[in-house]
Amino acid sequence: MSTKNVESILPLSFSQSMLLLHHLQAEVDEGFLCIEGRVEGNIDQQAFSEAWQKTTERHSILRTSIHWENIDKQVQVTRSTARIQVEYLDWSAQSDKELEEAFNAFKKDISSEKLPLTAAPISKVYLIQVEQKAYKLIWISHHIIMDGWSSANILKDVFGIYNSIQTGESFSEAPLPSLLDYHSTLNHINREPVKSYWQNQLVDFEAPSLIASKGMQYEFNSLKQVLSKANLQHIRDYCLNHKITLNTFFQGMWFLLLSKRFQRAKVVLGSIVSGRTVPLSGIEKMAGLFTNKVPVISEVQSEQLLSTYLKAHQKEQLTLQNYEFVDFGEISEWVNWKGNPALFDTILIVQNFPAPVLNYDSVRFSNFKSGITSTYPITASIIPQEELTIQIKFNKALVSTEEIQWFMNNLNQLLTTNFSEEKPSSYYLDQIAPFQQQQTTQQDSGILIPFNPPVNQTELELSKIWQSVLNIESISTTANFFELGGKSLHAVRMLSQVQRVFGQAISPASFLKQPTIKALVSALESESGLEAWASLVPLKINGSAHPLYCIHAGGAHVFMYNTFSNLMPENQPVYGIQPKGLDGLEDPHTSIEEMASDYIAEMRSVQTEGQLHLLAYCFSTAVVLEIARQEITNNQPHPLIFIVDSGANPWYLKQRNDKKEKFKQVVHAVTSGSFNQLSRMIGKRLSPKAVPANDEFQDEEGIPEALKQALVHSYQTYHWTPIEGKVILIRSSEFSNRSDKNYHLEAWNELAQGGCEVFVVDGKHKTLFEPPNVVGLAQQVLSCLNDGNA
Amino acid sequence: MNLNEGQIDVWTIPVLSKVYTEDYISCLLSDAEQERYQRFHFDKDKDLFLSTHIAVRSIIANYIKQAPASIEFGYHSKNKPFLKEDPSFEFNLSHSHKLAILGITKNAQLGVDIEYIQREVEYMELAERFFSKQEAKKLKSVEQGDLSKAFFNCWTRKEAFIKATGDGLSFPLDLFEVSLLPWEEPALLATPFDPAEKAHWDLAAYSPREDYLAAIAMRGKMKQINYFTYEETFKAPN
Repeated sequence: MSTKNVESILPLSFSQSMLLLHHLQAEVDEGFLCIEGRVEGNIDQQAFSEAWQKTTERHSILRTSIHWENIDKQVQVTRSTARIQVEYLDWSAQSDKELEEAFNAFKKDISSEKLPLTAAPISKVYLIQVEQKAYKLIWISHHIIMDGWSSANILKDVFGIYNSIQTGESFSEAPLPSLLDYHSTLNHINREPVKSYWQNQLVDFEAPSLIASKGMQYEFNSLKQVLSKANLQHIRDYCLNHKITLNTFFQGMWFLLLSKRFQRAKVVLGSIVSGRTVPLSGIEKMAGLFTNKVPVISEVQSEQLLSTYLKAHQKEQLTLQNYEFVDFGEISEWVNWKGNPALFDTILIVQNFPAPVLNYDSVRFSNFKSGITSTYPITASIIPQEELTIQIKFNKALVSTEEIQWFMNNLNQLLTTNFSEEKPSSYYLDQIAPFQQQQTTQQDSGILIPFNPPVNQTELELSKIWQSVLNIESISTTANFFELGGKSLHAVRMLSQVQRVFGQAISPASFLKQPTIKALVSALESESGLEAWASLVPLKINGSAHPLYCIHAGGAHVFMYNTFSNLMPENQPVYGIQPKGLDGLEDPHTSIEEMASDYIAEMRSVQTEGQLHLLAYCFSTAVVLEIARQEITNNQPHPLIFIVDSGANPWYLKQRNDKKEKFKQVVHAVTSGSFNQLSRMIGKRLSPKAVPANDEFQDEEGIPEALKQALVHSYQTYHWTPIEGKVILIRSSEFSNRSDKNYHLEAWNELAQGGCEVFVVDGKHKTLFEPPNVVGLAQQVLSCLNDGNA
Repeated sequence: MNLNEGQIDVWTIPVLSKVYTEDYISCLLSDAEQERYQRFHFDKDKDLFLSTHIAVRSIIANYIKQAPASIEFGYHSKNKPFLKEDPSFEFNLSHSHKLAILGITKNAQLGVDIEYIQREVEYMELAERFFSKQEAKKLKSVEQGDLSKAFFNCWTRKEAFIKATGDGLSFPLDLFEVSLLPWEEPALLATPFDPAEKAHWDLAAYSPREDYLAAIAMRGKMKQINYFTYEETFKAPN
């Protein structure tokens, strides 16, 4: 990294770090932005390019690049100069349909080859002529440096400057604060009152959840309603009358819904704030990534008049402005809450500002799209323009449609009430019909809805007995024996086996009172086998073959392995291994070594002897190597290792021995302090730092921040060393056809001294564990298992 | 159809898997039945419950001259259903594998049990753990080839009895003795909890189909047993 013209070197914010991680891990980086708009006028290319260049000079973020190689910590480097590239294309001959296809292809094509984060500006502009005097502006950039407010700010400057060049009018705007100014201001804010505020807000808070199922899929759906102009006016009048903002009003309405939904007074939603309430003059015109997801907590007092409640909330909102600049990561460092690890599942956005429409003599700009999309489980957008539009975008894979319909219907009802008469909140709460949960049962189709797998040895043994007597797979420990199809004879057979295995007789009469595995565990007076596993999750219990242990990928949830495990034959048990700390209550592991050691302990509790059969995908490649290393040290056979379509970054293997000690010291210093310590580390050249390999490390919303950080940290500090044995690398046909994924082969050839056996199965990397690709994958794994045991 | 005192009509119901639509189901099952229906985890158990309950309504309808869908069932505290219209009408249902049986009588406690005997069961272990001492002893003396039949003789007769009392598995299986040897008549041999009780009970057994064994228990004199086979007489609307 050259030190020419450097204005500042600053650490990344927490949000930026997460985006960088996602960028390095994910196959498709969701952070790339395609900012669009329509430009009308007779555009002078030279002037337009000059306008962009001048804008680049004005905004330090456009002269900033992100770096993470050959230094310990990720940084953003701002220089005094950078050249922005503007390309001009003429597609005016294309038909509308061709244009649309071309634009879509364009957007899909954005990648780090086209736009590397390490070169400033992280932006490229395309002005595409579509008609004689009309153009489409496509500006590709990355969320790591740009939020929605920022791109609007930059475009305002671009067109303002362009117009001043064309017309000779002066563009007189005061210079903007730099990133360094922002950073210093932020640093000078005393954290103590901020910490106190958040601790007060969240102490003893139990966050409920709307997430129905565990999973890491994205399947977005949207519901939309439009309310009349008159309705909107009525609401505006109400707000004016009581001196509250629309934002406060709509948040209040959502809180009423949440309160009724969860039958409690204290509720929380997420709000996207601009993050610009920092005391820095000119910040509202700056560009960068300042937006923040902030928890907004409210206590609904039902006897209070609605207007009183909303006014009080408004007051709290003003207070919140002082504390909203803080990262969610920091909040989770200061205080622990119970329940939902993400704290809130819904983001409520009141889009109160119009998209920039710029009308100059020389040019007109409209149809602005910031390109930023939310991947939150539920995003409710309220757009008050002429009419009132309500849109709820939700991830169908996590939240049920009926849940969202309930919110939408009741929100509609609330908003169409007559607010002229003063009424207490209870009046409005009573209007809302309570939420009726659909009966959820486990179906043959294998869809998992509240399902409790065995969590300890005893439950596991009992499940095995039940499964063999009832002749079914996957028993939830809270399922009723008779509702699973059990009859009297099954019951006595089961109890007889229980007596045989546990040495304790349980009478049919007492079993009948509560015919579940959990109840049996209580009835059994055994003292051992009751310690809950932190990581082991039985996915398929029965079978006498050596179990196959599937280790969590970056997304941390092991339920992605369900379909795969169901395809295994009767004789083959399958366990998932999930990271400690997923429930938000326990402390996660902070090193790969610790993680491997604990995983081994749990695996050995169900399989005392013999070779461990392991399957790793994405993140878990490091853990699996470490498990192998530790097993050998413990005189156990070398594990059988399946690596599914993942690599390990060969950079990290090039550590030189003399640097190892120094590296360890620095890593310790950096990771044992707070984020701000890293500025002292800048400029030191050390051996390459272990950044997670180019696998998927999805920014999972359902995973506690503490766990995310711990996983990242442990990956970053791991020493990759080769193992003695071999690995079986099963590749997707997608990756085996891509030359940029060849490093997977190189990596494993270096890391596995016993060699790397390669197989290819049909499918794309992201869908290998889903039907139909998962069938091929399962067949290949089985085939290897059978060969190995022959 | 007529029902006289001491007369038992036993209906054999072949279980077929059929698909019924949601609204059809809501017409044919009472609220209580629908609730139970919903709680089954697996479709096969749901289907079974549905088809046997539809058959039961159709059959009973013949006796009380009421439309099948309008029959109202009540539930005693012990979960054994009775006819609200006529509490003296006694009936009991049992199912195993592909057959179900429904026993009907008047004014006497009735229980039936059917078992498919083609499966691997730990006969001696179960007998020793759950049956009465006498029964276990007798079973031990049976020849290997007859063991399965003897075990199921015992099991079905015991089940029929505890279902008749309405207690089901809450009733300790080792507190009463039934006959089980191949040459023994079906009978309740001993009721130690109340020695006089056994004299009130009659037991019967039959084999509805190869590999199936069924038993009937009644608290009263069995004067006549009639056997019928149920055939589905109506078709589900499209």
